[in-house]
Amino acid sequence: MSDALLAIDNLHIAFKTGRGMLDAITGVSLEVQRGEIFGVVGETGCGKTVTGLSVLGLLPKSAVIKQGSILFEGRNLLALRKDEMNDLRGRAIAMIFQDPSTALNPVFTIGAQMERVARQHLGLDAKAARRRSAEMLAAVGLPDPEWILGSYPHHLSGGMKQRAMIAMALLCQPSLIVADEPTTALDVTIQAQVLSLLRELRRQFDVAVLLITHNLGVVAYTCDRLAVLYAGRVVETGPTDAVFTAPHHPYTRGLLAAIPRAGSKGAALVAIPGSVPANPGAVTGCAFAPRCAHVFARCHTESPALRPLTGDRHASACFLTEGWEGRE
Amino acid sequence: MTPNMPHQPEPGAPLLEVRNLQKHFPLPGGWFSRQRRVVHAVDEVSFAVQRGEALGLVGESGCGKTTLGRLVLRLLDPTAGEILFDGQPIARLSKAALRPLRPRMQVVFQNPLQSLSPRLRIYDIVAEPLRTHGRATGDDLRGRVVALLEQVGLGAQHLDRFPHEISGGQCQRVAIARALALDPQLLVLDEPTSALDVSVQAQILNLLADLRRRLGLTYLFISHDLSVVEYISDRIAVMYLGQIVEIGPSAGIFATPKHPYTKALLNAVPEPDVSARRELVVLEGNVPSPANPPPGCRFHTRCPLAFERCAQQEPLLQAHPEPNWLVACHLYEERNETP
Amino acid sequence: MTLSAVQPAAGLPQRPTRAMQIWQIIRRDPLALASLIVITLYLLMAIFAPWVAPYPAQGEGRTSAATVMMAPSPAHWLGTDQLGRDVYSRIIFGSRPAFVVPLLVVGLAVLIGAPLGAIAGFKGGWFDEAIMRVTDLFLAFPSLLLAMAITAALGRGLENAALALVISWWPWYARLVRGAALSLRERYFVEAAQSMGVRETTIIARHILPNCLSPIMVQATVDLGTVILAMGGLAFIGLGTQPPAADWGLMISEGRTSILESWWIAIFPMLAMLILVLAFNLLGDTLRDIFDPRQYR
Repeated sequence: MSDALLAIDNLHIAFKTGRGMLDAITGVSLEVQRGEIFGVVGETGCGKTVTGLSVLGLLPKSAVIKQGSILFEGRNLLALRKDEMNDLRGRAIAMIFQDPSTALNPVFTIGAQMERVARQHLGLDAKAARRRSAEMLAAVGLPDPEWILGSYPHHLSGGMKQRAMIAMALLCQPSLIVADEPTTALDVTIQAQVLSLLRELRRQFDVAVLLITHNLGVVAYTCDRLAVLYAGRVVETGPTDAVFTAPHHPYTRGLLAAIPRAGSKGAALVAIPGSVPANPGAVTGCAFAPRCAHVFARCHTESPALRPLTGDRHASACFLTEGWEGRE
Repeated sequence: MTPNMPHQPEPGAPLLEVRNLQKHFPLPGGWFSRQRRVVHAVDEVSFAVQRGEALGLVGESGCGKTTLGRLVLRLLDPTAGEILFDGQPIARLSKAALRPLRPRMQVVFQNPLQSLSPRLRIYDIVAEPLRTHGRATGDDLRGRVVALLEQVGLGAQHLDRFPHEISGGQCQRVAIARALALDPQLLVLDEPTSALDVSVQAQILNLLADLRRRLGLTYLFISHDLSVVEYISDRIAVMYLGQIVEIGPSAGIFATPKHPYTKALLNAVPEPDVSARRELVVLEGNVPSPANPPPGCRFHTRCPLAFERCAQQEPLLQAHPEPNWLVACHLYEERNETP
Repeated sequence: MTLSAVQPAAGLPQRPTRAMQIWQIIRRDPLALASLIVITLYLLMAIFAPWVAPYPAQGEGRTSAATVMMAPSPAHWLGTDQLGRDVYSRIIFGSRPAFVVPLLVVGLAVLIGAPLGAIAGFKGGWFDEAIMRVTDLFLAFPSLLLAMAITAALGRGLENAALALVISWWPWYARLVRGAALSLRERYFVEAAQSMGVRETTIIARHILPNCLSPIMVQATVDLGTVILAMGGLAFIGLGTQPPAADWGLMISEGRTSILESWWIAIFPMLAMLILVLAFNLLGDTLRDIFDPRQYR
């Protein structure tokens, strides 16, 4: 679909380590539409953070992009020069990190950090930059923006810092925000505030969000569509409602069954046996096969591609899709 | 301020009892400040844990649950109050007097990799408690270590490994094996699954539930994750700014929470469930600083149901509706017929 | 749920032998490899000095009036000094104290300083105060003056110079280890040991000190080089090694006056010192990696 805001196509990224090449993602494809909140969910080592960083061009030097493209508004980000990417970063695509304490520079005030962004990307003078920063801080629900502009990060609580970071991301009205575990480091009640804020801001500013998280509850609440990653591959993708009411891939089902739900005491947690493969690139066949309860012979030799299940772009990378009747 | 002690439904003394426990950390104030500012980490906390029971301790950051866990284990010294372990007061015992008691209460921490000494092999890590208390030597020691590892789903092949060579979930199993080495009665678990992936968390939770049943352990389970706590605990205590605001049976509290903070906490958790897609009830404001708790009820600054009395007077934990379920809120005092 | 339903943990990766892994670490860094080769060569030179040196007797000090101050030639590759001794042989014999003394000095400094630092950092309170004030006291002493004072009291000689260096050096390790201990004592595994009732001395010995090994290693290897330089300095002013024994610092000192005409007498020992010190410095980082169990996967 050529009108998607962000289209990642068959991305393969590996890392050079002392022990050879380690594959991080092996063929990730996904699309984010304008104004959509898209969740990328998976556990440790599934490649979700690498995917997010690759969109912003913030991968470490040891990363090698073996294959694939990332189209943003039609342009391939991987083919851009450094200065072109710098221009996009912060202006058209912004990022929110997990730990606001480490993402904000502790020796500069919030105002100084925000104003620098505004001046660089929007070409505003000092006064206008300050005014715009204050506007954004108010937009994210922070009281007394003037005081916040003059504060250092350690004066603010975790939730306030995260809001400030969101405000900084929104300064230049980007069309896409990549949020890497934005609420993981926050308390539950503060997390609720920030998630509500993200939904509200999406409505107000029509900004798309690529939300990276391991928390399925956060995805259920916030995202319109999602992709489940396992061992560097997308194993299931689709609208949130569809994936949660009728999860198809055994890994997605396993994850949902492994989460303790409030109010369901007594129901045993079904744990997924085994653990994630150490080197996803070295796996032949389906990466989940060794842990799958529904495995059969073909799973060990062939790697399943993402196949659509029903008409609304709900797809699953599993051989069980063959024979899928489109049932709920 | 005398506490309203919970009525014991079963005979027999509780394994762990805490009375009016207090822990204040002094803040470095100037030489000339009149009043020494103090962090009220734990303030007038009282509860009891029966043998074989699992009590969950929930709350957000700064509520004092982690400090409480360490106080119970005497890794910290209380500022005031009493701790009774199996009837014996331990709050003011010297380190030497505590030593023989230590085997009976052990701990499992949050970050599995960091709770194991990075330069020791798994064998030495699990053998350490046995060696420290002279429980076994030589071949006998090795046999016991292997038995402990097998109990948690590991085996002899892990003996020679270092913590960084095994996964997070396996590290946590080692930590549990080490905690069980001395046949403890009480296990304090401080966020044992917070640093683990969902699928691994399920494995560890199943293991913990199974071990409790088989070995008759008593758990003090500290976590910020409500669903995890509900899964593993019989009773739950909800903490806010150093105090218990509600304590009662976990099924009951989850079904019908009484305290406004408990309600807010439960409603703030996004569930992986779209069928009942409710709006998250967003609790406004930030947690006040524990160095400067609000007067009266500490929650009144954020409570949607606060009224005049809440800012003036601290509510006491009172039994409502059953003797085994206590809530500290003026809303229930008003309705309570008994004085 | 019965025990058989408890999910067993996953299998373990295969791992190559420790020796293979050490070799892999060294191989990754060409500079470290070069340093290792250099140090090994020097070590062999020191051990087999009497057999490697072309003029072993001269190396040990025998003078030869006939060959005084000769420029480098096929007979004497690096020339001869003002007493006719072959410079090359002298350098070879000079590598012996250049190895023994630094290892001894640094080794003793670590043995004294590290435990004190660990106790200070871990226990805090007045232990920390007391030990740190003593450390400050020793740090305030200029090492050269201390060396001179000790020599004046106990007489000249290499052993006394080494003693002076040890006394000047241990406070640095106390400081270093104290810093590491301060952060280590907050870690969960220390709390776990405390909850088990492990005695404090055992915690320090078993949990704190071994985890301080990395910064100690880096500092110690660099210090090996620094001690060589310090020895050179002491020999230069007449403390430390006494003539006619071979010692690089002594040789530089002796060759100082004739540096313009017979440059080889001072320059070659200086180069020998430079190369060895450089090799120790470059090896420092790699040695730390070798000693860190987390490098082995």
